[in-house]
Amino acid sequence: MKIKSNRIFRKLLFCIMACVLISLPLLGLSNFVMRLAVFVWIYILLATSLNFTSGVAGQVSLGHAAFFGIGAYVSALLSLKLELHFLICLALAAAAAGVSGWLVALPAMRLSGGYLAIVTLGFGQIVYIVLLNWIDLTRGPMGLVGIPSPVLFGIEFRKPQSYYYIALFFCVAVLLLFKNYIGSRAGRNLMAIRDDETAAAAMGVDIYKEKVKAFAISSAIAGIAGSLYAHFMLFIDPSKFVGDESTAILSMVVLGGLGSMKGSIAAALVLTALPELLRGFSRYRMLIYGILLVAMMITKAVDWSRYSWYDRMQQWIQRVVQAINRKKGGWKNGAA
Amino acid sequence: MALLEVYGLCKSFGGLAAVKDISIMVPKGKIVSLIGPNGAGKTTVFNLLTGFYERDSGQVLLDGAALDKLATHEYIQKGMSRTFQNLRLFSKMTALENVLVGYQSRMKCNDWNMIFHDRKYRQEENQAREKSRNALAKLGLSRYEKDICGGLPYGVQKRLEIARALVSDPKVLLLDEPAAGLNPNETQELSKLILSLREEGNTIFLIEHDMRLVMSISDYVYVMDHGELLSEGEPKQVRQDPKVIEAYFGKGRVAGAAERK
Ligand SMILES: Nc1ncnc2c1ncn2[C@@H]1O[C@H](COP(=O)(O)OP(=O)(O)O)[C@@H](O)[C@H]1O
Ligand SMILES: [Mg+2]
Repeated sequence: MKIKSNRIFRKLLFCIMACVLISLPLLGLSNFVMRLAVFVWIYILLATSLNFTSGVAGQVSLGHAAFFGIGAYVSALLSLKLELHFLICLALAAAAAGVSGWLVALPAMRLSGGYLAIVTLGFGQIVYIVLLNWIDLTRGPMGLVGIPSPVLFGIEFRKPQSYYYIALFFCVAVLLLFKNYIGSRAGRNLMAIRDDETAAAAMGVDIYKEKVKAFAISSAIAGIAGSLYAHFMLFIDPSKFVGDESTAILSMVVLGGLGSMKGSIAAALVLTALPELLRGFSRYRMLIYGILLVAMMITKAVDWSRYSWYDRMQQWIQRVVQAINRKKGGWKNGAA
Repeated sequence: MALLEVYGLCKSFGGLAAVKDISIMVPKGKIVSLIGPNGAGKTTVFNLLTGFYERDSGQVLLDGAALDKLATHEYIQKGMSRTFQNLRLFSKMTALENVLVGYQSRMKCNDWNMIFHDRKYRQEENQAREKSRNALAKLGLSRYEKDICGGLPYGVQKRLEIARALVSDPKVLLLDEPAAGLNPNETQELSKLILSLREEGNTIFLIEHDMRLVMSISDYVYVMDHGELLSEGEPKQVRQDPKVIEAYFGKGRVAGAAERK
Protein backbone atom coordinates (compact mmCIF):
# COMPACT_ATOMS: atom_id res chain seq x y z
CA MET A 1 0.00 0.00 0.00
CA LYS A 2 2.75 2.36 0.98
CA ILE A 3 4.58 1.83 -2.28
CA LYS A 4 1.41 2.55 -4.21
CA SER A 5 0.66 5.81 -2.44
CA ASN A 6 4.30 6.79 -2.90
CA ARG A 7 4.00 6.25 -6.62
CA ILE A 8 0.79 8.25 -6.82
CA PHE A 9 2.45 11.04 -4.87
CA ARG A 10 5.34 11.05 -7.31
CA LYS A 11 3.04 11.16 -10.30
CA LEU A 12 1.14 14.05 -8.73
CA LEU A 13 4.35 15.91 -8.03
CA PHE A 14 5.49 15.31 -11.59
CA CYS A 15 2.20 16.68 -12.99
CA ILE A 16 2.37 19.78 -10.83
CA MET A 17 5.96 20.41 -11.85
CA ALA A 18 5.15 19.93 -15.50
CA CYS A 19 2.22 22.37 -15.23
CA VAL A 20 4.35 24.99 -13.52
CA LEU A 21 7.18 24.64 -16.03
CA ILE A 22 4.85 24.86 -19.01
CA SER A 23 2.79 27.75 -17.73
CA LEU A 24 5.71 29.81 -16.40
CA PRO A 25 5.82 32.27 -19.34
CA LEU A 26 2.06 32.82 -19.02
CA LEU A 27 2.23 34.05 -15.46
CA GLY A 28 3.15 37.58 -16.48
CA LEU A 29 6.64 37.44 -14.99
CA SER A 30 9.06 40.19 -15.95
CA ASN A 31 11.43 39.86 -18.91
CA PHE A 32 14.28 39.73 -16.41
CA VAL A 33 12.92 36.66 -14.69
CA MET A 34 12.11 34.92 -17.95
CA ARG A 35 15.61 35.58 -19.28
CA LEU A 36 16.92 34.08 -16.09
CA ALA A 37 14.67 31.05 -16.60
CA VAL A 38 16.18 30.48 -20.04
CA PHE A 39 19.69 30.74 -18.58
CA VAL A 40 18.75 28.24 -15.92
CA TRP A 41 17.80 25.73 -18.64
CA ILE A 42 21.05 26.33 -20.48
CA TYR A 43 23.11 25.86 -17.33
CA ILE A 44 21.16 22.74 -16.43
CA LEU A 45 22.30 21.29 -19.75
CA LEU A 46 25.88 22.36 -19.08
CA ALA A 47 25.93 21.01 -15.53
CA THR A 48 24.28 17.67 -16.31
CA SER A 49 26.57 17.11 -19.30
CA LEU A 50 29.69 17.87 -17.28
CA ASN A 51 28.32 15.67 -14.51
CA PHE A 52 28.28 12.84 -17.01
CA THR A 53 32.06 12.81 -17.50
CA SER A 54 33.21 14.28 -14.23
CA GLY A 55 30.62 12.87 -11.85
CA VAL A 56 29.39 9.62 -13.36
CA ALA A 57 32.64 8.60 -15.08
CA GLY A 58 34.96 10.39 -12.65
CA GLN A 59 37.05 12.12 -15.33
CA VAL A 60 37.33 15.69 -14.11
CA SER A 61 37.34 18.22 -16.92
CA LEU A 62 38.25 21.88 -16.45
CA GLY A 63 37.45 22.93 -19.99
CA HIS A 64 33.74 22.38 -20.41
CA ALA A 65 33.09 25.99 -21.45
CA ALA A 66 35.20 25.37 -24.56
CA PHE A 67 32.57 23.00 -25.96
CA PHE A 68 29.83 25.43 -24.94
CA GLY A 69 31.74 28.05 -26.95
CA ILE A 70 32.32 25.81 -29.95
CA GLY A 71 28.59 25.05 -30.05
CA ALA A 72 27.66 28.73 -29.77
CA TYR A 73 30.09 29.91 -32.47
CA VAL A 74 29.39 27.09 -34.91
CA SER A 75 25.66 27.63 -34.60
CA ALA A 76 25.94 31.42 -34.89
CA LEU A 77 28.33 31.32 -37.85
CA LEU A 78 26.27 28.75 -39.73
CA SER A 79 23.15 30.84 -39.38
CA LEU A 80 24.93 34.11 -40.17
CA LYS A 81 27.08 33.00 -43.09
CA LEU A 82 25.09 30.15 -44.60
CA GLU A 83 21.67 31.18 -43.29
CA LEU A 84 20.90 27.63 -42.27
CA HIS A 85 17.77 26.86 -40.30
CA PHE A 86 18.02 26.97 -36.51
CA LEU A 87 17.41 23.25 -36.10
CA ILE A 88 20.18 22.38 -38.56
CA CYS A 89 22.53 24.83 -36.83
CA LEU A 90 21.72 23.25 -33.48
CA ALA A 91 22.37 19.75 -34.79
CA LEU A 92 25.65 20.77 -36.43
CA ALA A 93 26.71 22.66 -33.29
CA ALA A 94 26.19 19.47 -31.29
CA ALA A 95 28.12 17.50 -33.88
CA ALA A 96 31.00 19.99 -33.99
CA ALA A 97 31.31 20.11 -30.21
CA GLY A 98 30.99 16.34 -30.01
CA VAL A 99 33.71 15.75 -32.58
CA SER A 100 36.02 18.26 -30.86
CA GLY A 101 35.36 16.50 -27.58
CA TRP A 102 36.16 13.19 -29.21
CA LEU A 103 39.43 14.54 -30.64
CA VAL A 104 40.46 15.96 -27.27
CA ALA A 105 39.53 12.76 -25.52
CA LEU A 106 41.56 10.50 -27.82
CA PRO A 107 44.86 11.56 -26.26
CA ALA A 108 43.47 12.97 -22.99
CA MET A 109 41.70 9.81 -21.87
CA ARG A 110 45.02 8.00 -21.83
CA LEU A 111 45.82 10.28 -18.93
CA SER A 112 44.31 10.34 -15.51
CA GLY A 113 43.50 12.65 -12.65
CA GLY A 114 45.61 15.78 -12.55
CA TYR A 115 47.03 15.36 -16.04
CA LEU A 116 43.59 15.10 -17.55
CA ALA A 117 42.48 18.21 -15.67
CA ILE A 118 45.45 20.16 -17.05
CA VAL A 119 44.92 19.00 -20.63
CA THR A 120 41.27 20.03 -20.55
CA LEU A 121 42.19 23.32 -18.92
CA GLY A 122 44.72 23.91 -21.71
CA PHE A 123 42.19 23.02 -24.36
CA GLY A 124 39.78 25.55 -22.86
CA GLN A 125 42.46 28.22 -23.14
CA ILE A 126 43.24 27.29 -26.73
CA VAL A 127 39.62 27.57 -27.78
CA TYR A 128 39.29 30.92 -26.05
CA ILE A 129 42.45 32.27 -27.73
CA VAL A 130 41.32 31.04 -31.14
CA LEU A 131 37.90 32.67 -30.73
CA LEU A 132 39.64 35.88 -29.68
CA ASN A 133 42.24 35.99 -32.44
CA TRP A 134 40.72 34.41 -35.53
CA ILE A 135 39.28 37.78 -36.36
CA ASP A 136 38.34 37.01 -39.98
CA LEU A 137 35.94 34.36 -38.82
CA THR A 138 34.90 35.28 -35.29
CA ARG A 139 35.43 39.07 -35.33
CA GLY A 140 37.48 38.49 -32.19
CA PRO A 141 36.58 40.58 -29.15
CA MET A 142 33.90 42.44 -31.09
CA GLY A 143 31.88 39.28 -31.12
CA LEU A 144 29.20 38.11 -33.51
CA VAL A 145 26.14 40.33 -33.78
CA GLY A 146 22.77 39.91 -35.38
CA ILE A 147 22.44 36.18 -34.85
CA PRO A 148 18.93 35.34 -36.05
CA SER A 149 16.27 34.13 -33.65
CA PRO A 150 14.83 30.71 -34.36
CA VAL A 151 11.79 30.59 -36.58
CA LEU A 152 9.67 27.47 -36.25
CA PHE A 153 6.19 26.90 -37.72
CA GLY A 154 6.29 30.47 -38.94
CA ILE A 155 6.72 31.84 -35.42
CA GLU A 156 9.77 33.81 -34.41
CA PHE A 157 11.02 32.89 -30.95
CA ARG A 158 12.64 36.14 -29.91
CA LYS A 159 11.17 37.27 -26.61
CA PRO A 160 12.26 35.36 -23.52
CA GLN A 161 8.64 34.33 -22.94
CA SER A 162 8.59 32.41 -26.22
CA TYR A 163 12.24 31.34 -26.35
CA TYR A 164 11.67 29.73 -22.97
CA TYR A 165 9.69 26.99 -24.73
CA ILE A 166 12.55 26.20 -27.08
CA ALA A 167 14.96 25.92 -24.15
CA LEU A 168 12.42 23.88 -22.20
CA PHE A 169 11.80 21.49 -25.07
CA PHE A 170 15.43 20.78 -25.87
CA CYS A 171 16.50 20.53 -22.24
CA VAL A 172 13.74 18.19 -21.21
CA ALA A 173 14.21 16.02 -24.28
CA VAL A 174 17.95 15.81 -23.79
CA LEU A 175 17.63 15.20 -20.05
CA LEU A 176 15.12 12.38 -20.48
CA LEU A 177 17.25 10.55 -23.03
CA PHE A 178 20.35 11.24 -20.97
CA LYS A 179 18.71 9.80 -17.89
CA ASN A 180 17.83 6.66 -19.83
CA TYR A 181 21.40 6.31 -20.96
CA ILE A 182 22.94 6.85 -17.53
CA GLY A 183 20.48 4.41 -15.97
CA SER A 184 21.47 1.66 -18.38
CA ARG A 185 24.52 -0.54 -18.82
CA ALA A 186 26.52 2.37 -20.27
CA GLY A 187 26.05 4.48 -17.16
CA ARG A 188 26.88 1.60 -14.85
CA ASN A 189 30.05 0.88 -16.80
CA LEU A 190 31.14 4.49 -16.40
CA MET A 191 30.48 4.42 -12.67
CA ALA A 192 32.46 1.20 -12.49
CA ILE A 193 35.37 2.92 -14.24
CA ARG A 194 35.14 5.76 -11.75
CA ASP A 195 35.16 3.42 -8.76
CA ASP A 196 37.82 0.94 -9.86
CA GLU A 197 39.31 0.80 -13.34
CA THR A 198 41.08 -2.51 -12.74
CA ALA A 199 37.93 -4.28 -11.67
CA ALA A 200 35.96 -2.64 -14.46
CA ALA A 201 38.43 -4.03 -17.00
CA ALA A 202 38.14 -7.46 -15.42
CA MET A 203 34.36 -7.25 -15.88
CA GLY A 204 34.87 -6.62 -19.57
CA VAL A 205 34.53 -2.84 -19.72
CA ASP A 206 36.66 -1.30 -22.46
CA ILE A 207 37.81 1.56 -20.25
CA TYR A 208 39.42 3.79 -22.84
CA LYS A 209 36.63 3.49 -25.37
CA GLU A 210 33.91 4.16 -22.82
CA LYS A 211 35.72 7.20 -21.46
CA VAL A 212 36.24 8.69 -24.91
CA LYS A 213 32.61 8.09 -25.81
CA ALA A 214 31.39 9.68 -22.58
CA PHE A 215 33.56 12.73 -23.15
CA ALA A 216 32.28 13.14 -26.71
CA ILE A 217 28.63 12.83 -25.65
CA SER A 218 29.13 15.30 -22.84
CA SER A 219 30.79 17.76 -25.25
CA ALA A 220 27.99 17.39 -27.79
CA ILE A 221 25.41 18.31 -25.17
CA ALA A 222 27.46 21.35 -24.16
CA GLY A 223 27.37 22.21 -27.87
CA ILE A 224 23.56 22.10 -27.81
CA ALA A 225 23.63 24.45 -24.81
CA GLY A 226 25.94 26.75 -26.79
CA SER A 227 23.57 26.85 -29.73
CA LEU A 228 20.62 27.60 -27.45
CA TYR A 229 22.66 30.39 -25.86
CA ALA A 230 23.71 31.98 -29.16
CA HIS A 231 20.24 32.13 -30.66
CA PHE A 232 18.83 33.55 -27.47
CA MET A 233 21.43 36.27 -26.81
CA LEU A 234 21.67 37.14 -30.54
CA PHE A 235 25.17 38.35 -29.69
CA ILE A 236 28.17 36.33 -28.52
CA ASP A 237 31.77 37.20 -27.76
CA PRO A 238 34.66 35.08 -26.47
CA SER A 239 34.47 36.43 -22.92
CA LYS A 240 31.52 34.14 -22.16
CA PHE A 241 33.63 31.06 -22.86
CA VAL A 242 36.65 31.61 -20.64
CA GLY A 243 38.05 29.21 -18.08
CA ASP A 244 36.03 30.88 -15.31
CA GLU A 245 32.88 29.61 -16.94
CA SER A 246 34.23 26.05 -16.80
CA THR A 247 34.89 26.52 -13.10
CA ALA A 248 31.36 27.81 -12.62
CA ILE A 249 29.89 24.73 -14.30
CA LEU A 250 32.17 22.42 -12.34
CA SER A 251 31.12 23.99 -9.05
CA MET A 252 27.49 23.28 -9.96
CA VAL A 253 28.34 19.64 -10.52
CA VAL A 254 30.29 19.40 -7.28
CA LEU A 255 27.64 21.18 -5.24
CA GLY A 256 24.97 18.89 -6.66
CA GLY A 257 27.02 15.87 -5.65
CA LEU A 258 29.33 14.30 -8.22
CA GLY A 259 27.40 11.73 -10.20
CA SER A 260 23.92 12.91 -9.27
CA MET A 261 21.85 14.20 -12.15
CA LYS A 262 19.14 15.57 -9.89
CA GLY A 263 21.80 17.27 -7.82
CA SER A 264 23.34 18.91 -10.89
CA ILE A 265 19.94 20.19 -11.97
CA ALA A 266 19.18 21.63 -8.54
CA ALA A 267 22.62 23.20 -8.21
CA ALA A 268 22.45 24.72 -11.70
CA LEU A 269 19.11 26.26 -10.75
CA VAL A 270 20.36 27.64 -7.46
CA LEU A 271 23.76 28.86 -8.63
CA THR A 272 22.37 30.50 -11.77
CA ALA A 273 19.34 32.12 -10.19
CA LEU A 274 20.61 33.15 -6.78
CA PRO A 275 23.44 35.51 -7.76
CA GLU A 276 21.11 37.25 -10.20
CA LEU A 277 18.20 37.52 -7.83
CA LEU A 278 20.25 38.84 -4.94
CA ARG A 279 21.10 42.13 -6.54
CA GLY A 280 24.66 43.28 -6.16
CA PHE A 281 25.74 39.70 -5.61
CA SER A 282 26.25 38.87 -9.26
CA ARG A 283 29.68 40.47 -9.27
CA TYR A 284 30.69 38.06 -6.52
CA ARG A 285 29.41 35.10 -8.54
CA MET A 286 32.83 33.63 -9.28
CA LEU A 287 33.91 34.16 -5.71
CA ILE A 288 30.88 32.28 -4.43
CA TYR A 289 31.55 29.43 -6.86
CA GLY A 290 35.18 29.26 -5.82
CA ILE A 291 34.42 29.16 -2.13
CA LEU A 292 31.75 26.51 -2.65
CA LEU A 293 34.10 24.36 -4.70
CA VAL A 294 36.83 24.48 -2.09
CA ALA A 295 34.41 23.89 0.78
CA MET A 296 32.80 20.91 -0.91
CA MET A 297 36.12 19.33 -1.75
CA ILE A 298 37.48 19.80 1.75
CA THR A 299 34.44 18.35 3.47
CA LYS A 300 34.44 15.50 0.95
CA ALA A 301 30.71 15.88 0.58
CA VAL A 302 31.28 14.54 -2.87
CA ASP A 303 29.27 11.37 -2.87
CA TRP A 304 26.47 12.51 -0.63
CA SER A 305 24.01 12.00 -3.40
CA ARG A 306 24.21 8.23 -3.45
CA TYR A 307 23.64 7.71 0.24
CA SER A 308 20.21 8.44 1.66
CA TRP A 309 20.05 10.64 4.74
CA TYR A 310 19.01 7.60 6.68
CA ASP A 311 22.07 5.59 5.62
CA ARG A 312 24.41 8.41 6.44
CA MET A 313 22.91 8.87 9.89
CA GLN A 314 23.28 5.16 10.46
CA GLN A 315 26.89 5.14 9.34
CA TRP A 316 27.63 8.06 11.56
CA ILE A 317 26.03 6.40 14.58
CA GLN A 318 27.93 3.19 13.80
CA ARG A 319 31.18 5.10 13.76
CA VAL A 320 30.42 6.68 17.13
CA VAL A 321 29.48 3.31 18.63
CA GLN A 322 32.68 1.77 17.29
CA ALA A 323 34.71 4.60 18.76
CA ILE A 324 33.06 4.08 22.15
CA ASN A 325 33.67 0.33 21.99
CA ARG A 326 37.30 0.89 21.20
CA LYS A 327 37.54 3.14 24.22
CA LYS A 328 35.90 0.46 26.36
CA GLY A 329 38.35 -2.15 25.09
CA GLY A 330 41.15 0.18 25.99
CA TRP A 331 39.87 0.55 29.55
CA LYS A 332 39.49 -3.18 29.98
CA ASN A 333 42.98 -3.83 28.71
CA GLY A 334 44.22 -1.20 31.07
CA ALA A 335 42.56 -2.99 34.01
CA ALA A 336 43.90 -6.42 33.07
CA MET B 1 41.95 -32.55 -22.19
CA ALA B 2 41.50 -30.05 -19.44
CA LEU B 3 39.24 -27.03 -19.73
CA LEU B 4 42.06 -24.65 -18.87
CA GLU B 5 45.56 -25.64 -19.90
CA VAL B 6 48.61 -23.61 -19.02
CA TYR B 7 52.01 -24.54 -20.39
CA GLY B 8 55.38 -23.06 -19.43
CA LEU B 9 54.09 -19.76 -18.15
CA CYS B 10 56.90 -17.26 -17.39
CA LYS B 11 56.94 -13.70 -16.17
CA SER B 12 59.64 -11.52 -14.70
CA PHE B 13 59.56 -8.00 -13.37
CA GLY B 14 62.91 -6.42 -14.10
CA GLY B 15 65.34 -8.89 -12.61
CA LEU B 16 62.78 -10.70 -10.49
CA ALA B 17 61.40 -13.88 -12.01
CA ALA B 18 57.96 -13.91 -10.40
CA VAL B 19 56.63 -16.89 -12.36
CA LYS B 20 58.98 -19.52 -13.75
CA ASP B 21 57.81 -22.19 -16.18
CA ILE B 22 54.47 -22.96 -14.58
CA SER B 23 52.19 -25.56 -16.15
CA ILE B 24 48.72 -26.11 -14.77
CA MET B 25 45.65 -28.10 -15.83
CA VAL B 26 42.17 -27.25 -14.63
CA PRO B 27 39.68 -29.96 -15.68
CA LYS B 28 36.04 -29.13 -16.21
CA GLY B 29 33.84 -29.26 -13.13
CA LYS B 30 36.72 -29.54 -10.66
CA ILE B 31 38.18 -27.39 -7.94
CA VAL B 32 41.89 -26.87 -8.53
CA SER B 33 43.90 -24.92 -5.99
CA LEU B 34 47.13 -23.00 -6.13
CA ILE B 35 48.86 -22.56 -2.80
CA GLY B 36 52.17 -21.25 -1.60
CA PRO B 37 53.74 -18.78 0.81
CA ASN B 38 53.29 -15.03 0.44
CA GLY B 39 55.11 -13.63 -2.58
CA ALA B 40 55.28 -17.04 -4.25
CA GLY B 41 53.76 -15.62 -7.44
CA LYS B 42 50.21 -16.94 -7.20
CA THR B 43 48.44 -13.65 -7.86
CA THR B 44 50.84 -13.02 -10.73
CA VAL B 45 49.65 -16.27 -12.31
CA PHE B 46 46.05 -15.02 -12.09
CA ASN B 47 47.06 -11.67 -13.53
CA LEU B 48 48.69 -13.46 -16.44
CA LEU B 49 45.66 -15.67 -17.01
CA THR B 50 43.25 -12.72 -17.05
CA GLY B 51 45.29 -10.35 -19.15
CA PHE B 52 46.45 -7.90 -16.50
CA TYR B 53 50.07 -8.73 -17.24
CA GLU B 54 51.52 -9.85 -20.54
CA ARG B 55 53.32 -13.16 -20.27
CA ASP B 56 56.96 -13.40 -21.30
CA SER B 57 56.41 -16.88 -22.65
CA GLY B 58 54.08 -19.80 -22.31
CA GLN B 59 50.76 -20.88 -23.69
CA VAL B 60 47.25 -20.68 -22.28
CA LEU B 61 44.40 -22.68 -23.78
CA LEU B 62 40.80 -22.32 -22.71
CA ASP B 63 38.51 -25.02 -24.06
CA GLY B 64 41.19 -25.81 -26.62
CA ALA B 65 41.43 -22.24 -27.94
CA ALA B 66 44.53 -20.14 -27.31
CA LEU B 67 44.07 -17.00 -25.23
CA ASP B 68 46.44 -14.77 -27.16
CA LYS B 69 46.65 -11.12 -28.05
CA LEU B 70 43.52 -10.17 -26.16
CA ALA B 71 42.87 -6.88 -24.39
CA THR B 72 42.22 -7.20 -20.65
CA HIS B 73 38.51 -6.58 -21.04
CA GLU B 74 38.13 -9.40 -23.57
CA TYR B 75 39.07 -12.19 -21.18
CA ILE B 76 35.69 -12.29 -19.44
CA GLN B 77 33.99 -12.70 -22.81
CA LYS B 78 36.11 -15.78 -23.41
CA GLY B 79 34.94 -17.16 -20.09
CA MET B 80 37.64 -16.23 -17.58
CA SER B 81 36.19 -14.38 -14.62
CA ARG B 82 38.02 -13.52 -11.42
CA THR B 83 37.95 -11.99 -7.98
CA PHE B 84 40.76 -9.99 -6.41
CA GLN B 85 42.89 -10.68 -3.37
CA ASN B 86 42.25 -7.19 -2.02
CA LEU B 87 38.64 -6.18 -2.41
CA ARG B 88 38.00 -4.40 -5.66
CA LEU B 89 34.31 -3.63 -5.63
CA PHE B 90 32.70 -0.58 -7.19
CA SER B 91 32.37 0.99 -3.81
CA LYS B 92 29.91 3.79 -4.59
CA MET B 93 27.52 1.52 -6.45
CA THR B 94 24.85 -0.70 -4.95
CA ALA B 95 25.37 -4.44 -4.52
CA LEU B 96 22.96 -5.12 -7.39
CA GLU B 97 24.70 -2.62 -9.65
CA ASN B 98 28.03 -4.29 -8.92
CA VAL B 99 26.68 -7.63 -10.03
CA LEU B 100 25.04 -6.05 -13.08
CA VAL B 101 28.45 -4.77 -14.14
CA GLY B 102 29.69 -8.32 -13.71
CA TYR B 103 27.02 -9.39 -16.20
CA GLN B 104 27.55 -6.57 -18.68
CA SER B 105 29.84 -8.54 -20.98
CA ARG B 106 26.84 -10.73 -21.81
CA MET B 107 24.63 -7.78 -22.79
CA LYS B 108 24.34 -6.86 -26.44
CA CYS B 109 22.19 -3.72 -26.65
CA ASN B 110 23.81 -0.80 -28.43
CA ASP B 111 23.79 2.87 -27.39
CA TRP B 112 20.69 3.54 -29.43
CA ASN B 113 18.71 0.87 -27.54
CA MET B 114 19.97 2.27 -24.25
CA ILE B 115 19.14 5.91 -25.03
CA PHE B 116 15.57 5.14 -26.03
CA HIS B 117 14.95 2.29 -23.59
CA ASP B 118 13.27 0.37 -26.37
CA ARG B 119 11.77 -3.11 -26.10
CA LYS B 120 15.01 -4.91 -26.85
CA TYR B 121 16.75 -2.94 -24.11
CA ARG B 122 14.01 -3.52 -21.55
CA GLN B 123 13.98 -7.25 -22.18
CA GLU B 124 17.71 -7.51 -21.83
CA GLU B 125 17.82 -5.29 -18.75
CA ASN B 126 15.08 -7.31 -17.03
CA GLN B 127 16.87 -10.52 -17.81
CA ALA B 128 20.15 -9.06 -16.51
CA ARG B 129 18.48 -7.99 -13.29
CA GLU B 130 16.93 -11.38 -12.80
CA LYS B 131 20.26 -13.11 -13.33
CA SER B 132 22.00 -10.68 -11.00
CA ARG B 133 19.38 -11.15 -8.29
CA ASN B 134 19.80 -14.90 -8.62
CA ALA B 135 23.55 -14.56 -8.20
CA LEU B 136 23.03 -12.39 -5.12
CA ALA B 137 20.58 -14.94 -3.72
CA LYS B 138 22.99 -17.78 -4.34
CA LEU B 139 25.52 -16.03 -2.12
CA GLY B 140 22.93 -15.07 0.47
CA LEU B 141 23.16 -11.38 -0.33
CA SER B 142 19.60 -10.59 -1.37
CA ARG B 143 18.98 -8.30 1.54
CA TYR B 144 21.92 -6.06 0.61
CA GLU B 145 20.71 -5.57 -2.96
CA LYS B 146 20.05 -1.85 -2.66
CA ASP B 147 22.94 -0.99 -0.33
CA ILE B 148 25.96 0.98 -1.45
CA CYS B 149 28.56 -1.74 -1.18
CA GLY B 150 31.40 0.39 0.20
CA GLY B 151 29.64 0.45 3.56
CA LEU B 152 28.92 -3.28 3.85
CA PRO B 153 30.77 -5.61 6.25
CA TYR B 154 33.99 -7.16 4.97
CA GLY B 155 32.65 -10.71 4.72
CA VAL B 156 29.65 -9.52 2.74
CA GLN B 157 31.89 -7.61 0.34
CA LYS B 158 34.03 -10.70 -0.16
CA ARG B 159 30.97 -12.71 -1.14
CA LEU B 160 29.69 -9.90 -3.33
CA GLU B 161 32.89 -10.11 -5.35
CA ILE B 162 32.23 -13.79 -5.96
CA ALA B 163 28.67 -13.01 -7.04
CA ARG B 164 29.98 -10.40 -9.45
CA ALA B 165 32.45 -12.85 -10.97
CA LEU B 166 29.93 -15.67 -11.09
CA VAL B 167 27.01 -13.92 -12.76
CA SER B 168 28.55 -14.03 -16.24
CA ASP B 169 28.55 -17.86 -16.17
CA PRO B 170 32.32 -18.09 -16.71
CA LYS B 171 33.94 -21.24 -17.98
CA VAL B 172 36.54 -20.92 -15.24
CA LEU B 173 35.98 -18.98 -12.05
CA LEU B 174 39.26 -17.72 -10.59
CA LEU B 175 39.12 -16.90 -6.89
CA ASP B 176 42.09 -15.12 -5.33
CA GLU B 177 42.18 -15.83 -1.58
CA PRO B 178 38.42 -15.70 -0.99
CA ALA B 179 38.86 -16.70 2.67
CA ALA B 180 41.45 -14.05 3.52
CA GLY B 181 40.20 -11.99 6.44
CA LEU B 182 37.15 -14.16 7.11
CA ASN B 183 36.46 -15.63 10.55
CA PRO B 184 36.27 -19.45 10.99
CA ASN B 185 32.48 -19.51 10.66
CA GLU B 186 32.54 -17.49 7.48
CA THR B 187 35.33 -19.67 6.12
CA GLN B 188 33.23 -22.75 6.84
CA GLU B 189 30.31 -21.25 4.94
CA LEU B 190 32.60 -20.29 2.12
CA SER B 191 33.87 -23.85 1.71
CA LYS B 192 30.26 -25.10 1.54
CA LEU B 193 29.52 -22.44 -1.02
CA ILE B 194 32.48 -23.31 -3.23
CA LEU B 195 31.52 -26.99 -3.08
CA SER B 196 27.95 -26.15 -4.06
CA LEU B 197 29.26 -24.13 -6.99
CA ARG B 198 31.12 -27.21 -8.14
CA GLU B 199 27.96 -29.28 -7.76
CA GLU B 200 26.28 -26.88 -10.19
CA GLY B 201 28.97 -27.65 -12.73
CA ASN B 202 31.25 -24.66 -12.27
CA THR B 203 34.98 -25.05 -12.75
CA ILE B 204 36.97 -23.31 -10.04
CA PHE B 205 40.60 -22.28 -9.90
CA LEU B 206 41.36 -21.21 -6.37
CA ILE B 207 44.25 -19.41 -4.73
CA GLU B 208 44.09 -19.83 -1.00
CA HIS B 209 46.17 -19.42 2.08
CA ASP B 210 43.91 -21.31 4.43
CA MET B 211 45.38 -24.84 4.22
CA ARG B 212 42.46 -26.50 5.92
CA LEU B 213 40.04 -25.00 3.39
CA VAL B 214 42.21 -25.98 0.43
CA MET B 215 42.80 -29.53 1.62
CA SER B 216 39.13 -30.14 2.39
CA ILE B 217 37.60 -28.96 -0.88
CA SER B 218 40.21 -29.25 -3.64
CA ASP B 219 40.28 -32.00 -6.24
CA TYR B 220 43.84 -31.19 -7.15
CA VAL B 221 46.47 -28.90 -5.66
CA TYR B 222 49.48 -27.07 -7.08
CA VAL B 223 52.11 -25.68 -4.72
CA MET B 224 54.26 -22.71 -5.70
CA ASP B 225 57.27 -21.12 -4.08
CA HIS B 226 59.62 -18.45 -5.42
CA GLY B 227 57.78 -18.50 -8.72
CA GLU B 228 58.29 -22.22 -9.30
CA LEU B 229 56.03 -25.23 -9.02
CA LEU B 230 57.15 -27.12 -5.96
CA SER B 231 54.68 -29.95 -5.95
CA GLU B 232 51.34 -31.03 -7.28
CA GLY B 233 48.84 -33.76 -6.69
CA GLU B 234 45.73 -34.67 -4.76
CA PRO B 235 45.44 -32.93 -1.41
CA LYS B 236 46.62 -35.89 0.68
CA GLN B 237 49.71 -36.45 -1.47
CA VAL B 238 50.66 -32.79 -1.38
CA ARG B 239 50.20 -32.59 2.36
CA GLN B 240 52.82 -35.26 2.88
CA ASP B 241 55.33 -33.89 0.42
CA PRO B 242 58.42 -32.88 2.46
CA LYS B 243 59.20 -30.06 0.03
CA VAL B 244 55.82 -28.50 0.74
CA ILE B 245 56.20 -28.84 4.48
CA GLU B 246 59.60 -27.25 4.22
CA ALA B 247 58.33 -24.33 2.21
CA TYR B 248 55.51 -23.72 4.62
CA PHE B 249 57.16 -24.36 7.95
CA GLY B 250 60.88 -23.86 7.33
CA LYS B 251 63.69 -26.37 7.24
CA GLY B 252 64.03 -27.09 10.91
CA ARG B 253 60.43 -28.11 11.25
CA VAL B 254 60.37 -30.79 8.61
CA ALA B 255 61.33 -33.54 10.97
CA GLY B 256 58.85 -32.34 13.58
CA ALA B 257 56.00 -32.09 11.13
CA ALA B 258 56.71 -35.57 9.84
CA GLU B 259 56.74 -36.93 13.39
CA ARG B 260 53.35 -35.40 14.17
CA LYS B 261 51.82 -37.55 11.46
N1 LIG C 1 53.55 -5.43 -11.01
C1 LIG C 1 54.63 -5.91 -10.36
N2 LIG C 1 55.82 -5.29 -10.45
C2 LIG C 1 56.90 -5.77 -9.81
N3 LIG C 1 56.88 -6.86 -9.03
C3 LIG C 1 55.71 -7.53 -8.89
C4 LIG C 1 54.54 -7.08 -9.55
N4 LIG C 1 53.53 -7.93 -9.23
C5 LIG C 1 54.06 -8.85 -8.41
N5 LIG C 1 55.37 -8.61 -8.21
C6 LIG C 1 56.29 -9.42 -7.41
O1 LIG C 1 56.12 -10.76 -7.79
C7 LIG C 1 56.22 -11.60 -6.65
C8 LIG C 1 55.00 -12.48 -6.54
O2 LIG C 1 53.90 -11.72 -6.12
P1 LIG C 1 52.42 -12.27 -6.01
O3 LIG C 1 52.09 -12.95 -7.29
O4 LIG C 1 51.53 -11.18 -5.60
O5 LIG C 1 52.54 -13.34 -4.86
P2 LIG C 1 51.42 -14.12 -4.06
O6 LIG C 1 50.10 -13.80 -4.65
O7 LIG C 1 51.78 -15.55 -4.21
O8 LIG C 1 51.52 -13.70 -2.63
C9 LIG C 1 56.42 -10.70 -5.45
O9 LIG C 1 57.78 -10.68 -5.14
C10 LIG C 1 55.95 -9.36 -5.94
O10 LIG C 1 56.65 -8.33 -5.30
MG1 LIG D 1 48.47 -12.99 -3.83
